[in-house]
Amino acid sequence: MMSENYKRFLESQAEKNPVKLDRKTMSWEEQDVRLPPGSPSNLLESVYLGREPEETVVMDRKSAKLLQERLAGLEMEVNRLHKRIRGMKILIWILVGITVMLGLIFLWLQGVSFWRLLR
Amino acid sequence: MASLKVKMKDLEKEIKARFVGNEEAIRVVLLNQLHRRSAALIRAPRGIGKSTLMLLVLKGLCGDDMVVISGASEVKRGEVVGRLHIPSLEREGVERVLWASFTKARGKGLDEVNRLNPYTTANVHHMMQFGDVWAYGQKTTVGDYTLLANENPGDPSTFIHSPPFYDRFDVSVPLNSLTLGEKFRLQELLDRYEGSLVESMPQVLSSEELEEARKEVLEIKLNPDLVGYINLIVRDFQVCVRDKEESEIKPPTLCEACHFIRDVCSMVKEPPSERATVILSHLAKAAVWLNGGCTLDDLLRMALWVFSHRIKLVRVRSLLGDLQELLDRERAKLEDRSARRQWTVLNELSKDFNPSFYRVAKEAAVEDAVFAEELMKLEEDWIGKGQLKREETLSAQMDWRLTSTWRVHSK
Repeated sequence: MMSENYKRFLESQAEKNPVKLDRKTMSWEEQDVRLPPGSPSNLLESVYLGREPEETVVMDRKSAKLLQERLAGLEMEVNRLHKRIRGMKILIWILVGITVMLGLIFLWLQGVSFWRLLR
Repeated sequence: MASLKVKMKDLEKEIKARFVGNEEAIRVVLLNQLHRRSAALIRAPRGIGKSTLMLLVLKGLCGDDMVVISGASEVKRGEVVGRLHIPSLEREGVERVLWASFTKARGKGLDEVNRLNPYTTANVHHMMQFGDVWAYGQKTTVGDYTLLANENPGDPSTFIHSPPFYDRFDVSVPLNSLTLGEKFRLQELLDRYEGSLVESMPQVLSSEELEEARKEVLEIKLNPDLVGYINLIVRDFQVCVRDKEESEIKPPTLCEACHFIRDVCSMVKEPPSERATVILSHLAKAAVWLNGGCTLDDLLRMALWVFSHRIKLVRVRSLLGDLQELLDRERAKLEDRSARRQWTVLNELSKDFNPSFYRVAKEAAVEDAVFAEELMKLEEDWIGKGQLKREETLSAQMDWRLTSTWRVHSK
């Protein structure tokens, strides 16, 4: 059984240091972090937070893994969208064909002679 | 309320007007007066001003209602606790005890406490522990008091008192010898007060006012962060995955090949008692009442005075210097925990089990014994609910077991 003061301490700390949970990844934004001039900057900060990178950009194993997972995810997403676009294109051509066919049938029913038009 | 604070500040001014240097020691001793049955220990080599500071504080708070017992003189039990009233025994055959003025006085001073004989010390210890004294099968309750003691740790004619006795003192403050400029100031003060520094000290607070101030401080509610930091500071100095409190082998031997060999815990031979938490809370409340706030830096500074007579370090060059170094490391650790969002993760996990948060928590727990023991308690709940398998737990993977305290599972 957790004491009330302990709960309040954890809640207060959580309020001061919030985190975001995105699927399986926990992240947070560092506040007031300034790098000394000339020091290497973190790659993830420039990727996700849009910060201007320094001359040297460093990446730890964890960040590299994260970026790798993210790229793999994006590639899968691109492939999936490609497949969907191809399907949509085929569907559109089929719909166009059907529309043309229906138009021709409609004209034929109206008594339009296509042989005369062709001649 | 404001006037009481002003009077406390006035008391500090009056003492500083008669006592040169060691300003932090004065501030700590006065801050420690703001809770019931306060007890402070002043430690310094001979002739630095231990007794003078003790008397100045006692006079400023209690006026003439104070008794000082000196370990340097022959102290009998009758002078500290009580003696039999012989006429009553002779005429009526009744054992009537005349309680010593030391038990009745609000201001109690123990000069050269290191020289007090073990019997007197035992009586004083009992009084500090239970708030009463016994003599000839009779008991009397000792009311609220202010106790100040001093000792010279380098005195060769010293009795070795037990650690539980020293643990009864809320704070222990050292005094330093005076700098060149301070020596000039002391000479001026001695001339101004014609050598009667203590005699000239007025009573600044009446006993009723001090009681009122202590009540107000008691009612102060500390914010959750401060309470958390107090508990964390003490726990970080206590925790041991190899259960040093119970173990016959003590650090540094106990710490050989330990995962936490570079942590604060490996430098502490005897950890502080739980009373350290209580005293830090008292001091934090007093600081909030008197100064309007208490920061983490204030707490770490207070910890220096609260821990110095309560713990034993593995290697001591200068106790205060080494302890200060450990407290600096402690500060970095507290900041690191916040930066790594450990408490945010634990907050989420205390509500419900979440595999993503649990993975992050396990990574943090491997580097933090205090965090690990909290996580391991939650793991037991999750196993009970079927949310986690025992082989997936931190305790299984690190081979740690949490019973009443830490136990490393023997293979």
